[in-house]
Amino acid sequence: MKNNKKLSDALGSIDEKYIDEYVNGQSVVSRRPMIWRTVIAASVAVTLLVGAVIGIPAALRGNTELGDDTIIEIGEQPIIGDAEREYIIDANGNTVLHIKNQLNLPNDLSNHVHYQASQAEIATENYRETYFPWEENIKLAKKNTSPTNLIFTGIPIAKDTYVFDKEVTVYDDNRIVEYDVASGTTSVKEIPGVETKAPEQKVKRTYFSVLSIKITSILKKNNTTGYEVGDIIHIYLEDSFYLDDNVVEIVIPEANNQPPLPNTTSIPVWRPVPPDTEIAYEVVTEYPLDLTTTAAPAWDGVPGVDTEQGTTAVSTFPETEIAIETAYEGVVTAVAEGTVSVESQGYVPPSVPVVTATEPTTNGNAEENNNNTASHSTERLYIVFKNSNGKSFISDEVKATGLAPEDAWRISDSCTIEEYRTGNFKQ
Amino acid sequence: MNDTNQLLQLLNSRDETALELINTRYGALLRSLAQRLLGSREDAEECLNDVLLEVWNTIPPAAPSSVSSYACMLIRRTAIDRVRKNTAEKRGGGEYFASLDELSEVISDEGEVDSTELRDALNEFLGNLPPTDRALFMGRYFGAEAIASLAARLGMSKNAVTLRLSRIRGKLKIYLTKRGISV
Repeated sequence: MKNNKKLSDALGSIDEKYIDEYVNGQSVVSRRPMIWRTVIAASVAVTLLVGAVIGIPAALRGNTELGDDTIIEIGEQPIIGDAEREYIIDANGNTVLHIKNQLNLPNDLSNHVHYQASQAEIATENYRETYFPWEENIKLAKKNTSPTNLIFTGIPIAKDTYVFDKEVTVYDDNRIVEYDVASGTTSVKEIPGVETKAPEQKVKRTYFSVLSIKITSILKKNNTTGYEVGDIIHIYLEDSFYLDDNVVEIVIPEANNQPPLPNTTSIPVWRPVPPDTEIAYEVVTEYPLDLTTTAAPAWDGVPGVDTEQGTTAVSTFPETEIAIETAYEGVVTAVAEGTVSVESQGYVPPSVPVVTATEPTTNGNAEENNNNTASHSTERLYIVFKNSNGKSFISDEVKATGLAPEDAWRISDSCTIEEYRTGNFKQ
Repeated sequence: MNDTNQLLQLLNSRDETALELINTRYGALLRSLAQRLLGSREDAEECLNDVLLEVWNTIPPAAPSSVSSYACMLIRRTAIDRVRKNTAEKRGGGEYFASLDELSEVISDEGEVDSTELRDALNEFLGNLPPTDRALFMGRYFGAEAIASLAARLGMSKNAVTLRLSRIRGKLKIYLTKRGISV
């Protein structure tokens, strides 16, 4: 037992805003018990801050689209019968355990499935980690000027969960990879006094849930999303973790004598891009996995499918702004014409990562526009394409690299978009 | 009128209702924070009384932007003073020492950095953390919350909390090293 006075004093005089945040978090909890883990219908209001529903399997999306920055207040937790389980093959060829309507399973499969509202926020805001008190959510939503902003209340009516494992290489967080722009070379730097561990092979288990919610009332009247009371929307929640000594492994019950869930290696599925095709918008509905199909969807040859509106928009790369969003542990350093370069720099403040490249300048380098502020993403990498109308489209997570998705940000070499899409670029 | 404005107005007019309101609104929070630090309900209750008195004596002239945070800061300081006193008498400590020990692995008492510099570094580090990580850090190292309590509050498993705190400490270590702070 140590009495580290210096540390204790420093903690005791920490910035008031953080104490305030802490106090608010406490007071919210006192009003908002953990209803998601209970099987009892509760009349406690919870909130979910939800981003775009780009990851919802198409078949589950119905006719509705969720607007940006939507807040949902869920008033009641229904009891739904025993869950059905089945094994399916996802678009990447992985075996996935599919659990239907497991809202009221006594133990919810594991402690790792985040059913609590605050955790749902984490998973639903484009996978970015956020935690705000309830009041803060409301405040932020009301400030939002997006025409698709919507605040509503609803009740959950169904929930499907997909569970899958991947073998991944986990690198030491302490590793710093420096990228020399001039020479195009990378090197691993050591931090004095910090030992860098060798990469480890681990199994990453992911829970991906689709929660269907029926809107019971709309609190914000000026929304243009077209939602009405009675509409059903779908949000998704995702949580993943490594199966290692630090995490208790969950035993997933086998269903219907199906084979046990294998530790499959992710097989990147990328649509072939015809030669000379300029960069196209990704089909966002496939993110992160199109679990409703048993094979990779065929490339329809039409670049720029705007799934958000269901219309087609074509744009060529030089006219398309590209923003790259990466994990807070990595930083995107440059986007030049037709290239993507990602540099890992160990710990990087989360406000840094988003770099938006506009038209290439005469020297071929992109102008950087750091006006975008990154939210806190988890260990994932996306490419966000923006067209001249300001609409943005988020790619599938980067996994064409041959590395596990969460390691994609470690790619320290540059590649062309074509190489990026096909996975044939240097590592 | 928000909570703080109302309380400041009452305190400025020397209306004792302010203390009742603070106790009603934030008493449970303050008491639980003190109890976690002290490991004793009786000591926590005494701390709360001390803090209410200190609030009364210091506002005005103090005019904190948030009375609840101000009281929270006061009760933490008061409780830790008491923990130190109790430690000398070989009793108490609650989760305080356990959480401090964890962080001491990253920031030892022997380093050359002073507490002001350390505070500034921590503030900056916290500003760069994702909100959930910040909630975990503050809960564990400011609020001395037990792992189980944090897990329940944030809806995570205990293992996940432990793992995540470990990663946060690792990042803090790197961050401080990069800032040239000898830890």
